[in-house]
Amino acid sequence: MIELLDPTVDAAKQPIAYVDRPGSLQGKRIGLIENTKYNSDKLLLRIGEIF
Amino acid sequence: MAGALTSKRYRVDDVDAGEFCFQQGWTDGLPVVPPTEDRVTMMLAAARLDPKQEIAYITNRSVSVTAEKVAINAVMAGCRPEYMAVVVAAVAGIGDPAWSYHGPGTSTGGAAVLVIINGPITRELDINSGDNLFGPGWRANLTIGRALRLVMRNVCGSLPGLLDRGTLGHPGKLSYVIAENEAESPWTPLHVERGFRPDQSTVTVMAAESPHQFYNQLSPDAEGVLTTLADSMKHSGGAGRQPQYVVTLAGEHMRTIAGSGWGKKEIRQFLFENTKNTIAHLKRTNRIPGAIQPGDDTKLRPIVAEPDDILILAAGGRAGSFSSFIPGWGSGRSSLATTKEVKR
Repeated sequence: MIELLDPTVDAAKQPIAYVDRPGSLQGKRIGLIENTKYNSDKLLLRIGEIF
Repeated sequence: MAGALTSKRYRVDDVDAGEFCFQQGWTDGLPVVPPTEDRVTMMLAAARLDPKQEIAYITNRSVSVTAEKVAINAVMAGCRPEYMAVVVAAVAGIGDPAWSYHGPGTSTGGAAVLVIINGPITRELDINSGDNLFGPGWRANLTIGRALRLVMRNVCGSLPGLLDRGTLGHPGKLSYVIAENEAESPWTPLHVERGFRPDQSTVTVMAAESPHQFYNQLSPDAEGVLTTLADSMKHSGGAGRQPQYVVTLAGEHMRTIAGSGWGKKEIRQFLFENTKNTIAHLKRTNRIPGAIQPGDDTKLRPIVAEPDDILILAAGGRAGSFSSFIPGWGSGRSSLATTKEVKR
């Protein structure tokens, strides 16, 4: 038999506090954040039109 | 006295150890050396490191990279214990905020970590700077780079297909280690240009595409050789999006360029000036958006922000009219080469 050491680690667990989800988006102002990729502005504007 | 090793242990049959490592998802696709306690202890002792010592902290992954984990992965990669200090410096380099791990460790751009080693340690460890510069044949080159990539995989979580999403990747992602040929170079070594003494040993890491070879057997002077190089470089990468480039000048080109009295500063300046593209060309070839406007045919865009963003190395075989350039990964200043001293 041979004993091996584990080369991996587990990432530290971090709690993430989410804001409460609204029941509806009706009447809410929605922010869409561009990720600087080409055409992302056009895509987000089209998504914005859906709302 | 070094502290105890705290990693989880697995007892397996000797003959199954290699297969066990594959099954656990610990390898890069090639067999590994089983990481036993005695081997890992020797690796740590060679670099005089305590297992708990933090070598790097990868913020985006919330991961502390300890000496123990680096040593385990260095054993698996096939490193000799004396390579450990070099692997540690490379890990520290990719943990530097300027290198910005998350982008090059993850991106569809498929960057590898180009590792450039300078100083006396290159001779002591027989790290190749000559023939077959990027190819096989040297244990130190192959296993140091492999250890770094195993750390990225096993500790930092850069698993191909999961948090390493390179669209193409390239073979340098297995190992991509070179040394500068300081013994034959007429120029100031890279690490001295970056603020270290000649007698210090260093590791420079750059997020990088694959090497691009070019050929010029005709020119008797610096301008001739570098004109060919510049013509190849100017249409590479994103042609104006790379943060940095590395250029490796092999023996014949090195001697020809030095024979013209040119140093690294003159080489950088020439390449910077002669790799600019017109905005019209970049638009015509769909590298940047938009219709061609009046003036675009004369408006020039350099491939990097400053001449100093082109890192020049004397490296490669003595014979053959070949040299190479390597585009860095990313755009703007998204990831910059970092240099760390090899501490012994």
